[in-house]
Order: sequence, then structure tokens, then C-alpha cells
Amino acid sequence: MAVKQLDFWFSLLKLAAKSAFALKTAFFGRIVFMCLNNLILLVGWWAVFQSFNHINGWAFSDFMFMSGLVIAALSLFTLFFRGAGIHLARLIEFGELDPYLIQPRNPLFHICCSVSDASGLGDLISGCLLMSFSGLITPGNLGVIILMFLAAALLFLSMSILFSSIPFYARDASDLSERLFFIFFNIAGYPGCIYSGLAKFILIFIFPAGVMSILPIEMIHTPSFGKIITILSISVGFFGLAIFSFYQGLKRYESSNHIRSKRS
Amino acid sequence: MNTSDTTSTTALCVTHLSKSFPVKSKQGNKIIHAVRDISFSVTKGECVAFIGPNGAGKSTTIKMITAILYPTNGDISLLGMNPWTARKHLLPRIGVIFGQHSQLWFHLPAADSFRLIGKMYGLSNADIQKRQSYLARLFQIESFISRPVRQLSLGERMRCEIVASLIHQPEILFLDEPTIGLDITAKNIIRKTLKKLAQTEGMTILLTSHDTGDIEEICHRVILINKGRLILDTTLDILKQKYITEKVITAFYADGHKEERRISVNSSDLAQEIMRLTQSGHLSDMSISNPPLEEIIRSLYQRESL
Repeated sequence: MAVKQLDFWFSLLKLAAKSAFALKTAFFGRIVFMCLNNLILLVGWWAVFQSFNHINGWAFSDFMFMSGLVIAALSLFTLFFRGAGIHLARLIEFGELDPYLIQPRNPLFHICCSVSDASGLGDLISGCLLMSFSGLITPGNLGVIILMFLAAALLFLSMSILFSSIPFYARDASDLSERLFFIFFNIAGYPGCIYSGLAKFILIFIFPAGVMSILPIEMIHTPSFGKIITILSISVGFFGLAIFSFYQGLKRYESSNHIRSKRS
Repeated sequence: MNTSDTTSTTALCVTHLSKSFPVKSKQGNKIIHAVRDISFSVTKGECVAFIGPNGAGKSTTIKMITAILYPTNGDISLLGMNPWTARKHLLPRIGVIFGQHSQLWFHLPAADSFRLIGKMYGLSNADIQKRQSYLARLFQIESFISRPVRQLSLGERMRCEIVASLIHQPEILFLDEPTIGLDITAKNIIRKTLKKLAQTEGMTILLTSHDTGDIEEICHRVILINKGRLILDTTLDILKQKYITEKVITAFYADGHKEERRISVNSSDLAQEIMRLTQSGHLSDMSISNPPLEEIIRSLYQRESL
């Protein structure tokens, strides 16, 4: 039974990737432009760090590592769970979850895995390069970095599900869901050293972009068991909250009779 | 969950089912009663048409039966199970086709979607291939099964949608307007094949459609609902016998023109009317028939809306 489950999820991911690759120009275009986008971002922050050398104790290498972690974590989400973003929010808003609700698989993860975005490959390449060139990865901390990378990817998935569930509770809110996710990603992309006090607390426990932008660098420089447990707990906690939010919202779902096709 | 009246031959038992939606408006909050206290049952192997005008509550009822919407009140027993508590066991045994929603991947060939759906139901690659080939032949989709879905016509896509819903050989098939917007050829293929599958595989069918051709070709029983209430539950034959109020006499003349007269079934003027028609010209043929089902249903809708 478990083998059949795995076979299905593997086939679903494969089909999502095949669907993304079906339009080849768009596929390669997205990868190239995402790499360029990340490069431009990096050059901008390089110029800032050239002027100040250090910002609140952070060197450019810290920023490179943090950016690499955030971008690579986003790539995991974009490549394998892109259905959780605006796609899910619009399915809810337009009352089009029906095909997923009548199939004998978990509807939430079926939707999440049914869309793959090729730009994730560009992010994955740039993210891994940035982390590698930061010089902060050592054989001793590689295990912890992988854990932080997976926790960050889980956090992107969780926040995306959480924001995408808003249309269950407020009509015409799919654009709001998308904007919130952009804000979350943008905040995660700023160096964590600029936050302190209440702002830092909010960005770790309430709007947890700081779990990617603040805690990993602290963990790299002053490793502690408590910090890694905090990172993992917050990610798992928000994942639980996202699933709860989706299934509570599903009870309010209103199916519609729009004529549309399942685009992916 | 009341399943006391659910026997091994009962496929579906709906008891006092209701669904209300709260609607906000400038005048304040309102409650829309989409389905009101509906009860009916369907025996295994039956093909039932679930009909009514737009907004009657047909789709809402089907969505409650298939666990897409929560009922406000009432019980549903589908294959002896509650659709909400036994989803996991129930969903592999049913198939649902919504004319408006697609389960095919837009940029990929339909065959890819069939394979994924087969795996979703735990079928082996060999079983998927065998079933797909059989259904592809029946629904005549072999020539375009390898084309991306975005390049298919509506009729071709709908045939693929139906095949996708039949890959796992469901015991009950719910069809919500399966022939909406299709040409007569596509409609005929779908109707004849569904009828054949119902007979050969013992599949139960619950169909909603505004097309009386679907109803006459596939179903033998009709459930009519209007404004959320069940109005009529009878066989197609009884519907025709009981609700036909007039006969249509058509006379064809040698010069090519034809004349049509409608006579009440209770009228004693039938012989006189035939005589009048025969004297109107050089008669070449004559027929006495029932009005089409569409007219009977239309008159029922009109009667119910008064």
C-alpha cells in the first residue's frame, strides 16, 4: 500500500515537471531569468556592503549564505509544491476544488504537488552557488545546514498554504494571498541583522521570515541545540497551523459551476 | 447516519437532505435554501436522470452525495457508507464527471492523465493500459489520446474526461451535464457508450442534464426537482404515459407539404381530425406520435413554476 502511495506521489511530481517542460521556451526562459534576477539582487547588496563593510556585525559572506539558503529553500517549494500558491488560492476563490475532492488522495497535497515552476531550477542553481561561495559551509555544519534548508522550504510551503487559505474566509482574496507571500519572501530576503527587539520577535514567531533570515546565521556563528530546535519547531508548528487552516476552511468551501480547465 | 433502509441492493439512499447557504446583501443577511428535504433511493444498476430547471438544486445535491459539500440537514448512504465519514473507502468506488470542471492536465496528452489517475486508484501499469485501451476504443478517442488536452475540441475533451472517470471501473457514476455544448456526434458516442457500460459492468448512473436525448438514451427513471424540492420520481415510461396530454398527428402530402395537428388524449375528435386531414389533399403518409420528451418536461417545469 505504501509503495502504491509513493508510486502515485512520484508519478504526480513527474507529471507536474513534464507539464512545466511542455512549453520549452517558457521553461528555459524562466530558469535563465531567475538566475539573472538573483544575480542583480546580489550585485545590489554587494554595492551596499562595499560601502559599509559590515552591517550590525554581518559581512557580505553572511548575506550571501542567507540569500542562498532562502533562494534554495524557495526553489524546493517552487519545483515540487508550487500548486500551494496562487493556484490553490484561485481554486478556492472560484470554487474549483471539486476534481481534487472526489479523488482518493489527500486533496491539499494533491493540489500542492500538481504544479511545478521551472524558475525553481534557476533558484536552486543560484541558491546552491551562493551558499557555496559564501565560504560558511564546512563538513562539520553541513548536516545542520541541510536541516535549516529543509525547515526553510517547509516554512515557504506552510506560509503559502496559510495565505492561500484566506479565500475560504474572505471573498476575492486570492490577490491578497499572493501579495502576502511576496511580502513574506521579500522580508526573508533582507539581512536579518537589521532587525532587533520586538521586530525580531515578530519576524521569528509571528510572521516567521526571520527563521530563514535571522536564525541560520546565528546558528552558523554560535551553534546551539536550542537554536536548531527553535528553527525546526517553528517550521513544523506553522506547517500544522497551515494544514489546520486549510481543512477548517474547506468546511466553508463553496463549489461553483464556472467553465475552466485545470492549468498547470 | 441512518442506514437502516440501506440494503445490499441499494446503491444510494438520500433521506431528508437539505442545504442552505447564507448570502450577504445590502438588505441584510439572507438564507438561500438550495435543497429542501429531499428523499429518494437508487438501486444498484439503475440509471436515473436527475432533472430540473437551472438553480433547482441538482448539482448541489450531487455535490453533497459525493462529499464535496456538507449537507445542512439529512442523511446520505452511498454504497452503505456515509460519504463524509467513509470518504477514503468510498471515493475509489465512485466516479464523478462535472461538465464544467476538468481533471485532465491542460498541457499534456490525455493518456498521461489516465496513467496518473490509474495510479491514484492503486492500479498496476498493465491494468491501466488494458482499461485505457478498452475505454479508448469504446469512446473512439484513440486518434487523439496522445495530443495535448489544450489542442482538443470540446467534444474530444469531454470524451477523455469520461474515460478518466471510468479508469478505475467505478460502481456508481455521477454525471453532471456531461454533454453540455457538444455536437450530436459526440453526444451519441457518449450516450451509447455509457449505456453499454451500464449494462455490461452493472454500473449505477445518476445523471443531471438539460438534454432530453441524454435522459431518453441512458436512463429509465426520472427524478424531477424544482426550487430545491423533489417534485416527481417515476419511470420514464410512466412519465410519458401519465404526463402526455396530447397526441401529434402529422400528415404528409404528395406535393411535399405537411400538416400537423395536436389533439387532446381525452378528445373524441381523433377520427374527425384524421378525416379532415385526409380530405385536405392527396395524402402520401400519416403518423400519430407522442410529443417529444422535452415538451413534456417543459410543461412540467411550467406547471411547477406556477
